Amino acid sequence: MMRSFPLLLIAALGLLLVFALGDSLLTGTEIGPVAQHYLDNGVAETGVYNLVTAVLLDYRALDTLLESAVIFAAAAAVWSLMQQRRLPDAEGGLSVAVRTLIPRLLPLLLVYSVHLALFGHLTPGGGFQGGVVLSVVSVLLIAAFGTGYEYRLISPNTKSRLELLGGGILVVIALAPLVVGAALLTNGGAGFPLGQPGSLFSGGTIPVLSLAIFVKVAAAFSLILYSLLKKGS
Amino acid sequence: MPGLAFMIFGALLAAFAAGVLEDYRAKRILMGVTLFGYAAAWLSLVWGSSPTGQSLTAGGWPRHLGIELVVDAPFLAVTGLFAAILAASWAADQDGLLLKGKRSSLFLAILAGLTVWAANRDIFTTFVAVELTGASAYSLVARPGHLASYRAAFRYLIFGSVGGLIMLLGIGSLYYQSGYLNIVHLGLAGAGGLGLALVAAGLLTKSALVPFHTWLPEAHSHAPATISAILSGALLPMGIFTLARLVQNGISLASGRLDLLLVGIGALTVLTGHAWAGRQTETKRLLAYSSVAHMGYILCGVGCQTPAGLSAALLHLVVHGFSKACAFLSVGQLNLGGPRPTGRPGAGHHQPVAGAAFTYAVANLIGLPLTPGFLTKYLLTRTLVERGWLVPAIVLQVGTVLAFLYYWPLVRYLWSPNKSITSWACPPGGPWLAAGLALASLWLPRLFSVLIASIP
Amino acid sequence: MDVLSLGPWVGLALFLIGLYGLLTSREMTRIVMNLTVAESGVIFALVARAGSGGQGAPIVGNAAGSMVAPLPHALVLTAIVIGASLTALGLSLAQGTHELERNAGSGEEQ
Repeated sequence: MMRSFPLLLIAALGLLLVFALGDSLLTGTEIGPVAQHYLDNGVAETGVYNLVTAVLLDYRALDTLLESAVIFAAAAAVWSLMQQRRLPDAEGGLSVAVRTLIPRLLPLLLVYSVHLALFGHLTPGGGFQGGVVLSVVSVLLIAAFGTGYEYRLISPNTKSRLELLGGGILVVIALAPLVVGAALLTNGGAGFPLGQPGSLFSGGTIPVLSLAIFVKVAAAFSLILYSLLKKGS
Repeated sequence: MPGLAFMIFGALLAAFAAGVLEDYRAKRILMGVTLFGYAAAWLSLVWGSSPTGQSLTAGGWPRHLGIELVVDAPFLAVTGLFAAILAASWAADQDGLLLKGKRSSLFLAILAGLTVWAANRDIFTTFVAVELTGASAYSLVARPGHLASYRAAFRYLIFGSVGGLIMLLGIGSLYYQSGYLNIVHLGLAGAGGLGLALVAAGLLTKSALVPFHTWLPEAHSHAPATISAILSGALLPMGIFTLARLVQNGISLASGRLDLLLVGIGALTVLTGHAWAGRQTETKRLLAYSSVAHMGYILCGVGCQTPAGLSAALLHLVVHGFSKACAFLSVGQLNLGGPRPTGRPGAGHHQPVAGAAFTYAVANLIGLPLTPGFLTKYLLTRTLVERGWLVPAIVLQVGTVLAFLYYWPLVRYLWSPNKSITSWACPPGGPWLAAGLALASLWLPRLFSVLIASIP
Repeated sequence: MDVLSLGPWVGLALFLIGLYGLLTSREMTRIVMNLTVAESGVIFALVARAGSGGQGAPIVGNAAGSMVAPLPHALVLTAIVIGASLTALGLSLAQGTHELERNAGSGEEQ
């Protein structure tokens, strides 16, 4: 009886959820009024082709700023929790094959991540995706050459400064519209040029926000990965 | 309303900046300056506030397309509370626990997250703000090198994350029912039903209502006193705050009585919290269970679904926040934190200010006559009686008696002239005093009714 | 029948599987992993409901026909990032606890 209790609980919860969500989340394909508005007017109102980016960095940009703050908080938290651990471990790293292969992979990853961030308003991608790909470089470096090498190449302090740089740009862009009396985070409405949709320089503040998030996310995730991977005392 | 933007982004920018600082003094100054600026921005909002509240949408969009932020009386009440509690914790942090590692960044991120949480009228932004404060709070519970606090933080994280997931499912349901995320539009479109129940379950987990309360006593008692003050006073009631916003905008269960359900959970939480608080042998755990009980009081007010009930709940939220933060901070000061018998009897005589603060906070938490805590409990009770719900109203009074019974020995011990006293037993007169108090709480309100009638 | 319309059900099932794992696991890393499974389920349900088969990505100029709703995709991206952050946090707490336990254990042996 005691052993099957969790199973019974989950079964009951499952029934409840099917009942609760049956007519909203689980069935139907209609597009709601807000999403329909984004589909119809997104390009005209924000100047970008990728409508997911339009929602993320214009219509609901405040969410995105807070979300980057969540990653920042997680990085700060992981760093604080792992702080009593010994600092860089000089040894580590894998076989010659890995050490030869990884340096050849890195330029590809770098270009790919920058592309994702830079063209996120035109093609699939964006600052978050690019940042996560870039932070993988950290993991590969640690895997191939050990945490000490990665520490010397780009230290946690530098990463924190990069986080501040990205965050600072985000906050400046968020507050800049107040100067002309617009609401915080206003893009086209505050006079930022939306440009010709489809070109690289379009969407007003969107590409700048995307690049700032790219830097910030890459720094934060590589800080998290470094803190978790470095050797325990 | 530039003040609101500065409150949110000032705190965020300071959090980012604190991440690169190494020097303890520089961090401390940055935190102080940020809190000061936050308070100044808050004052500017209070100065320019209008009774109906002001609304703005981030990005300058119509409110259903963007994220609506509102400055109204409840927002000003709770953000004032945040500023005061965080400033008090900052000032009380003598051993630099808030400065180690990047904890000062987390402290400031909590402030930014709480501000957005209180201001926004968008159900998904609420979720993001909830997770921002959560992600910052979980690891602040963990004290360096202290195993039990790590376990408590982990438990807190798991409960918080599962609560967040259930809330996210509910948000998905509400969104796909109506196509909106703005709370006002959700209400107008008639969204609700069991989607609301899921969102409420998530929010009530964050606010530690029975039966989702089991993470709280561990987290709040093992955290440093300065963090416990923030968690109990500022963070904890915000789940109910959002629930009140949802209820206020007409989002409701499709069938069944939401009001009865909420009041029922509230009353059950009041009883459970007080009953467990009375069995604790450690002051911080006692205070933590008392927080559970007080969340029940607030939920009872929200459950009434009347303007009087909501304002009584809000007042109680503020009074509890101040008192509980004050109690946690003075417990840290008085070294009452350990198991009762090892505490120092008569510590109040050595530190009269901290002793007086603790005593006043406890008087508020019990709801002794002539304290603000008494007033808010009276308003809650009156609203319940007006709705015709006598049983929860009586439960609230029983709670007062129980609270008196378990706080009285603490206060007596604190002010004990006889330093050889090591027993924490209730004094012989205790039950009689409590009975007298219960009687007083029945007739004193009549006496003050003229005074109270002037309060909405 | 449109396969994509099964998506939310699959997501719900994943969520329940994750919760079951949460209830039955004792080891902290396992608990975090189960949390990740449950979270993936919720995210999958939310995003699968956003469109039906045959619709294109919400990028103008890419798709010829109708596009899926962009809003859920944006929400889900936010939720994914939050989930990843919390997973990292949970893992570091698990690791910290483990190290403290080991230290306490070795302290007793001496």
